[in-house]
Amino acid sequence: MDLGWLDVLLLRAGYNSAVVVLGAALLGGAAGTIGAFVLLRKRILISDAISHATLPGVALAFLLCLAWTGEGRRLEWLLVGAGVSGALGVLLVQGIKDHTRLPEDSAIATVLSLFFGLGVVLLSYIQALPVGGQAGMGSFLLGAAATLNRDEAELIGFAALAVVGLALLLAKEFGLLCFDAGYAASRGWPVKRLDLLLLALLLTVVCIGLKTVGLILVVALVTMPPVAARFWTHRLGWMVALSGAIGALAAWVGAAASSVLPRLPTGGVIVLAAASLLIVSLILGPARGLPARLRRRALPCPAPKIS
Amino acid sequence: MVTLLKFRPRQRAIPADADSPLAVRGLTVAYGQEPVLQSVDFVAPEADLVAVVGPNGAGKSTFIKAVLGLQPRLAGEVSCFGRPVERQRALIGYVPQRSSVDWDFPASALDVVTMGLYGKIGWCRPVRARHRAEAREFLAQVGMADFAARQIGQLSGGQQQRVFLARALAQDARLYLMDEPFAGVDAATERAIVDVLRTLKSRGRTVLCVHHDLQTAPDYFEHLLLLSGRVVAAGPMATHFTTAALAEAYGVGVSLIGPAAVRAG
Repeated sequence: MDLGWLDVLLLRAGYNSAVVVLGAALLGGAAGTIGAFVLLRKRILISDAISHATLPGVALAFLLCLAWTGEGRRLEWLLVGAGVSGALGVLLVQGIKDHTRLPEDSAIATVLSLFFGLGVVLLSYIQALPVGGQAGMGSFLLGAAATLNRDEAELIGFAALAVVGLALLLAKEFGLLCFDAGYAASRGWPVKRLDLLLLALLLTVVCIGLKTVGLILVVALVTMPPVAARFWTHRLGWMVALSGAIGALAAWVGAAASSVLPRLPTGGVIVLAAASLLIVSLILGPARGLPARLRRRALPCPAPKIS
Repeated sequence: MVTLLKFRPRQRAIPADADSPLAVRGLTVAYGQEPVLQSVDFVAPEADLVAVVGPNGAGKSTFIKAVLGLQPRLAGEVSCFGRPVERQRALIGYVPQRSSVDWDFPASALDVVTMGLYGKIGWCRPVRARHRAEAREFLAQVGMADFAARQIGQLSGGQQQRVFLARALAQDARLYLMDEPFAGVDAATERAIVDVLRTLKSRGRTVLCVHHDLQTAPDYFEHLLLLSGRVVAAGPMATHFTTAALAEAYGVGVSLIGPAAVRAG
């Protein structure tokens, strides 16, 4: 294989590679779009709880699938397992928050480590099984876009498109929820259901992102793009669009790197790409980056207003 | 089980104050074990400005939130123009406390006012130019037309308050509930809010305002709801804003100066 970087980036390295890179980019776009709303709702850390909570589900789904079909690694099965177990994790966080006096961050830390611990134990059991197919399971931790096949990449891409579509359709409602949930409730908007839907979309993004970014780092793909986007604009619409674009770009670069150098963990590369974009935004972003800060410093001290 | 409970037939008789903008009966609210409001009864008169007054922790904000259903009610009924408040949302405008939101949010003053029109725009439909134009008029009504494009974090406290007020005006409600609109605002904003309140009254709207300033309460409002965990006094300002009632609500040592003192006599 003598594929150049540029060929992969420009989708000239064959249909398979192009589908994988495109699927990853769509995933990044969806993560950035949903991430913007979740960040503004101040619940970004819950994505970390979700991603870690998916692991036992993935492992159990592997075992079930193995028992049922004789072959463990089917992405649909694993995704359903991840979704169910991630949802359980969220419900547990919510339950702890509602029924004890623990704050949400404590609940998240508890659930995250509990589920991850369970998942790691199950995973090591799977690794010791005398069957094939468990080799790729490690990619759920750190991500390996190169191990995706065409069908899997297409599944990821379509799911990501559906998430972006729903988020854009409800952008106005989600925006209101994030800015002023109390006012939204007073006007009769179903705040709890909107919150639930936002979490469901986040859960979807996390699940389809597991194989590409890995569960440890998927939180970065949800967090970094909106944080970077905020440096450029003061408007919600632009922030969501930019966040999606930044996520897509980071995932695109990461997936391309992964298919050129398959031993690189894709998740790490994607996160490094997203972090670079974040640093660039911090330095250049006109709305909240360094330019804005310098502009503010350059202003003369406002004279006291006499009315 | 839950669904069965929901379809419980209505067996209550229609009370005499059925059509008033806001009728609260036996409202009790608690945070955990701690009761905050106990059996509050209150009927708001039509087209009147009502001050909700009381010491810190008297349950003023809780009253507003429980009326709106944002705070669970332990007991009691709240009706608005004769129907449960939950079914009259379109008729109620709410101005939350300014500190209840993050002003760092990526939105302009106009964006926030446009939120008042979301109910009219409807689910999943985009905000269009005509909605923005409409919102602009409400910003102008509170003297904020020049700040439409300004990010909300870059407005002064008073300007932020006026943006919230404009958002409530945009929905053209018949009953307004405002949580401390005068808290920490400049003199220009105070005048602007008072003007808006008087305009609302002249258009037949009813406004309930949580208000902290005992000095200005009798000037700005005609009706009083004095709370201190329960109703201490409720009725026309002229007859109910008395030193005795205030002393009962605040404990000891409320001294008023100026016209308020004369009224409270």
